Amino acid sequence: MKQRIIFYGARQFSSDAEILARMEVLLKVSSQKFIGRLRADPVFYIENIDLNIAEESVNYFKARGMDVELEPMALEGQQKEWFIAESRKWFKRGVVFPYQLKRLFSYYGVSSEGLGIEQEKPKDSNSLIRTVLSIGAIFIGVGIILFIAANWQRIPSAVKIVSDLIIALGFLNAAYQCQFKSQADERLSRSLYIISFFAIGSVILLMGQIYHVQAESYILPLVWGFLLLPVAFLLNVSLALYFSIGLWSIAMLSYSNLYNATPWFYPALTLGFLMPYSFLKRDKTMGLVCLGCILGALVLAAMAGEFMMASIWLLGLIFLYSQKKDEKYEALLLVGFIFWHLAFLEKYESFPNVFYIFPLVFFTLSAIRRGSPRFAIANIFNALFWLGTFYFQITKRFDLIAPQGLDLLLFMLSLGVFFYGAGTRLTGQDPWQPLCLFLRRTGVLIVTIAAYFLSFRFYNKSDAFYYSALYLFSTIFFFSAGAVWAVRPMLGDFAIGKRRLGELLVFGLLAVGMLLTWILPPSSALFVVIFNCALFFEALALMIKGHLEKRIDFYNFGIALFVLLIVSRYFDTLSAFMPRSFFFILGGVFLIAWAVFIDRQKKIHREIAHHD
Amino acid sequence: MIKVKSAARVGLVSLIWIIAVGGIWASHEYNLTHGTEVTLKAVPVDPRDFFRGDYVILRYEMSTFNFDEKIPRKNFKTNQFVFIPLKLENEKWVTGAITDKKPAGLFFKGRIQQDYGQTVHVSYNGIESFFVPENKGHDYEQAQAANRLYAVMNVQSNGTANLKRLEIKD
Repeated sequence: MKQRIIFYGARQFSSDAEILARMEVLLKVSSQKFIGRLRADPVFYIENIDLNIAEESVNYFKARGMDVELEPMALEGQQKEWFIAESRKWFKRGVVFPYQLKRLFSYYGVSSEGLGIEQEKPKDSNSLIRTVLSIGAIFIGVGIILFIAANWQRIPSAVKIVSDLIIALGFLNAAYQCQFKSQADERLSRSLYIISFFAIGSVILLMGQIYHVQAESYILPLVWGFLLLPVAFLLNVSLALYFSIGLWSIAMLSYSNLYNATPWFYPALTLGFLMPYSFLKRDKTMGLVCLGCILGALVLAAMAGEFMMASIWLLGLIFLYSQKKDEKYEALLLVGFIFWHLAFLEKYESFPNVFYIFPLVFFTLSAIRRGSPRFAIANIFNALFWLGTFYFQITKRFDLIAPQGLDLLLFMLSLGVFFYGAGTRLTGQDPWQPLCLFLRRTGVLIVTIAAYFLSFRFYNKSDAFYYSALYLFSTIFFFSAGAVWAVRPMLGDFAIGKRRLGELLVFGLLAVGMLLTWILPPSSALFVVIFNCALFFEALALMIKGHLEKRIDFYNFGIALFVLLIVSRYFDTLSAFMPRSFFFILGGVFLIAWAVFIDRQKKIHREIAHHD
Repeated sequence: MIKVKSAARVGLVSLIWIIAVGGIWASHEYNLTHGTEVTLKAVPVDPRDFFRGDYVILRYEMSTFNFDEKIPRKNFKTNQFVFIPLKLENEKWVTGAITDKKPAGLFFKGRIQQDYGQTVHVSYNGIESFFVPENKGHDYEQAQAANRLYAVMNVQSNGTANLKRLEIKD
């Protein structure tokens, strides 16, 4: 019995000279033919080989790591009988198409004569006639549509509705025929089903037009969605269910737009029907669609200030998460909680939402458990958002003095120090490196922005630095915590070398400035000097750090900060005290001197490298 | 997957569609042939919003209520169902004051769409859109601006109404 060898994924071996040589010697296949066939088809067959040669070849190729199979060219005996019996069943049950069955018979060397399989229809040699007929049918169809459009107003309503319904039923039945009867391409039946969905929708919309149903009516898409359910469940067309979901979402949006409220039917359909159905069927796609619907509804409920409805949606989201426990679901749950909190704010403006501490703690523990810096960063912003709204609610609840601009600036400064300190404290502990870097850099950015605004003189007219006691205590707390975390490592580094001198100097100036805000009034000119010096030394430290460590981003940031300082001081302060040109000259001289210094350093380093 | 299915299933789906469409159709026809015919004057609306596509937006005197000493404001809120009684005076139907209790006799049932404190906007399902044939919309627009447009509708005993036609009168 002649054998067949099948090679899978052999393309990777097409440059192996030993394999190509073996192919030529054993199997009489030239290298060129082998390589050429592999380009066309990743599965490569060699047929009509003697059994002993085939076995020797297969053993060799398998030892070389190739994926090969060996099988006889034709079935015999019991194998053949089994194959014939099963193929009859496959054909009767519509598991395979006739042309596929004939291909299998040919592959296994079995004759299909006398087995009752339909012959494939011979190709129609009169294709030109068929084409002309098709074009003619299209022309007639277009003509009918044009006639209807031109005489639409004169056609009685009953005729319009009935004919539209007949068209919808026609497409439905055609789709069914394609799917179950005629063995046609699945894509065709799918297309016909989609047309039937739109056709039945057009009947509903037509009746809405004839009887002047409200233009933004939510009832039309709602009914349309329900009409597609029988197709989904009785004919097993899952696409119909997705169409229904889309239509019900449109109904919900129409209702929300009309009445600025969430409709009762949407939670009933989504939570009471779609979600249990997706779990029953273990349908991942349906589950994701449910998730999208719930999130969208939660956002709408939050925007409408419907707290009860937002809570219901949140419970649905929590339930979905409890089934999946996936990081993506957790991220969406976090977003859901944010919108739920917004709905809480809308409903209970002056009642502090202490319940939010529970999800905050949960997400923090979850980030630690997963070792996910990204999630931790997201939760940090979540916590800041809650804190801001919590302070707002406390202020409203107890009728406290609301914070002014200076409260917020100093709070921002303390937050920046807190971030920087936390980032410094966590350094070296995997896998939190990205989080540490984020905290340190964000801390520096926040401190820079806050200090920049504090370097102006606008607050001199203010009565006090702090109007809100809440913000005063928060500022003290965050600044102290950040200082405690950051100073020790900085001092440790300073003891080793002067690398962190700039940072320590800036930190010291900011600490002095912050401390003085708790003691001195805003009118003191000392603050302008302190914060300007802090920013100047920060710019210098960044430029030096960028130069020494060859970090162009630090260097550029330092230069940009320095230029910003000069321009700001020119416009608000120094123009009153010295000639404008003189101040700009000073700044320009500094920058040129710095550039010359850098250039000399580069040359020195190049010479050293050359001599090395 | 076994592909052979009973033809009865597609027949059942078709039947459901026919019954559903027939039921909706029949309910609309029933509303138009039963109930009391009422004619109300359509008030001018913002001309920018008048013509959205190929339908006409209709508003009535009962679409907006301003509260004062004569018409005291009760505990109305957005999305609440409200009722407007109808009276026949000199062979013309006239709308009464807004109320939160179902009145005796004929009435409209609406829903508060927007609440501006001393003013509320009420929407009525089924009588605020009228689909017009092409090139007819401008005639209605001009008539409405001149206070000459009237909407003829059927009002049911439960307060719902359905538009039958628009009329332009002098």
